[in-house]
Amino acid sequence: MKLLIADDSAIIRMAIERSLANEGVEIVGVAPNGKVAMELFEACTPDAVTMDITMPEMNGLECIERIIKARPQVKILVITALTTESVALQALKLGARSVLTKPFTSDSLRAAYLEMISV
Amino acid sequence: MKQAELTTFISIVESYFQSLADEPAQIGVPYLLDGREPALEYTGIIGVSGRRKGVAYVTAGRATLDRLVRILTGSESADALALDMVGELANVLAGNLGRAFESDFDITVPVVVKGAPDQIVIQKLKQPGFVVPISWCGADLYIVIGID
Repeated sequence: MKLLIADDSAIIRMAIERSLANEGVEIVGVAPNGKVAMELFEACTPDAVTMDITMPEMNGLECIERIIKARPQVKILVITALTTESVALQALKLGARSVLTKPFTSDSLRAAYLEMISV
Repeated sequence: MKQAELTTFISIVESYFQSLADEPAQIGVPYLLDGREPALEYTGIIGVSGRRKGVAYVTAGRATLDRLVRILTGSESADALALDMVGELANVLAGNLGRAFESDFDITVPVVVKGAPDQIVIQKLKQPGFVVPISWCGADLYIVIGID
């Protein structure tokens, strides 16, 4: 599974890489903002994306919309600090498969990832 | 911010530290903003807009942030990672205010600052703002919430 990680926090990007290291994941790109995420999405053709929502340049919701429009089969796991229901609903409506709210543990991230790829 | 919202938020902070490190945080007695808000070595600031408006920030020392970086990444910290950590901490705690507010709001990306000014002054609010003192693993940090 080729995975793209989009999050403006270097620590969260590192934590995601670490947590999914033993899940047969090939990290094909890590993006610190939505604009770079879209550039890497086009260059690396990932099968799945972990997507933050609040990011500079372009937010995660706009990225999800563009990704699903370009390749609807791509699986997207939203990982966000925003706990409001409307954000989660909006992300799912746009085509994300699953939503995980921060803070997360390695176990909860792995579970959310496995759920996303099984859908 | 209402008292009930503060109580809910404090329980969120407690569970945050518990879930991260199985190390309980000691929450001190919250106090009202008085124009001399605390500022430690690193500060992460989040703006809140939408149905709620204001600012929330987390301020912490390097040792606390280094410990959090090690827990989350398994790597040794560095100055850039300490700055990133305080921003992410502010981001997560501000984002989780939604559970306390039960209403929609937006948050900005964090602004991070290194170096403690003498004081930080929060704009005048219609509702009371709070400082939440926290002791975790032998070090102090503060969460400051000034949100109407």
